[in-house]
Amino acid sequence: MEELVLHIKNMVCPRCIMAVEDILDNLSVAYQNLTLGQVRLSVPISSAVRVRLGESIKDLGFELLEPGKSLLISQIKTLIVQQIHYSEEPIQVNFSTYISEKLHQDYGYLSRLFSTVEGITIEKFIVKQRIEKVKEFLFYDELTLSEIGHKMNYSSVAHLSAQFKKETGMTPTSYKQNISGDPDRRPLDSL
Amino acid sequence: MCLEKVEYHMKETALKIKGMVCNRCIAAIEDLLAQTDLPVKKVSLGMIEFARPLGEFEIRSLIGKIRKLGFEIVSKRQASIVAKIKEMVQELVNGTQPMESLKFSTLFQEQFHFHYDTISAYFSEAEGITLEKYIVQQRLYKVQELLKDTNLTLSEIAFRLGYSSVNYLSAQFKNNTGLTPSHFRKIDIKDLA
Repeated sequence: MEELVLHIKNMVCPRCIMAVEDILDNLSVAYQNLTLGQVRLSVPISSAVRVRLGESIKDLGFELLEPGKSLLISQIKTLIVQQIHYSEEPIQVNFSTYISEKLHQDYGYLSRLFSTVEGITIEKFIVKQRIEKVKEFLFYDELTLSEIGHKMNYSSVAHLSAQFKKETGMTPTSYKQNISGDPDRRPLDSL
Repeated sequence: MCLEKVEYHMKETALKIKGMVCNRCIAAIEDLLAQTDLPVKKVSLGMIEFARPLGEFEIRSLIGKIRKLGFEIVSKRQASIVAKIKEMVQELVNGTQPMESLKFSTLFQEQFHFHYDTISAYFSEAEGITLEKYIVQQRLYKVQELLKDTNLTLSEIAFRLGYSSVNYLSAQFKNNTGLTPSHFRKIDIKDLA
């Protein structure tokens, strides 16, 4: 059976979508929609086109994924990135419930798979993404720490500060003071 | 928050950009800059550094292009908030609605989604006067205007500007100007005569 859905690794933002869009247009690949991590094609593409597509996106740091374990891991990451960085509403259920429902897989299995391949737990990955978002907010200098904590669903500023310190080695305040010299932000797909 | 006049974060030679999160974002900005002849020193996540401060025209045209990529510019938070607060205070003071039911702190909080203490701190820092004091001042200017230009009684003025009582208005007036409202009205008429 011809596959109409292509999976792409490392897409984390609207510019990633624009970059993939450009490549698809250059290769004259017709598609119905393009979201973080996924292209729905209008018609199946030949294996030659598929190879060229794979090479082109690789230059940008993306990767075509075949169904399998690495696809599952990529999907877990995309769900987390989407929720933390682009969702208007804070998540209503636990991430574990959310991820296992979205991917129709047992969380225990996903969790073990993720840790084994990635070398960190899903929980730790979530913390890293959240702290990166907190850094982004601090960098913009538009919200106070308590407002950031509230927005990011932290139970308290103390909890946020402690987690921030643990991840970055700095308190949020000292991070903010250092920003003008070096914002030290990380690409979301490298966390 | 929608402001007609946005003040950009052009701190020295760096422009802060909102929404940059990965290397594709950096590439997109670099592509855009390559089509201009701006003196770019470095593009990093969230920031473009230039070799010199940009001129007004350069900034405006650049910002338009940056927005097309889905980014936003980080505006000077304090400057834009303070400008908007002043506008709101003017609107309220000059409005014809009685202000009795209005609570400034609630209004500001709803407008900016910041805690009132934060807003108030920005204001004092930028203006060298507390927000409370500024509102008192603006209302008193309006009281003076109404005393001069209309025949409204002091209690009518007090009601219109949301003072809880005439006594309170008189006391505040005296406290800030050294004159009683009625004295102020008389002096004014004499001056005109």
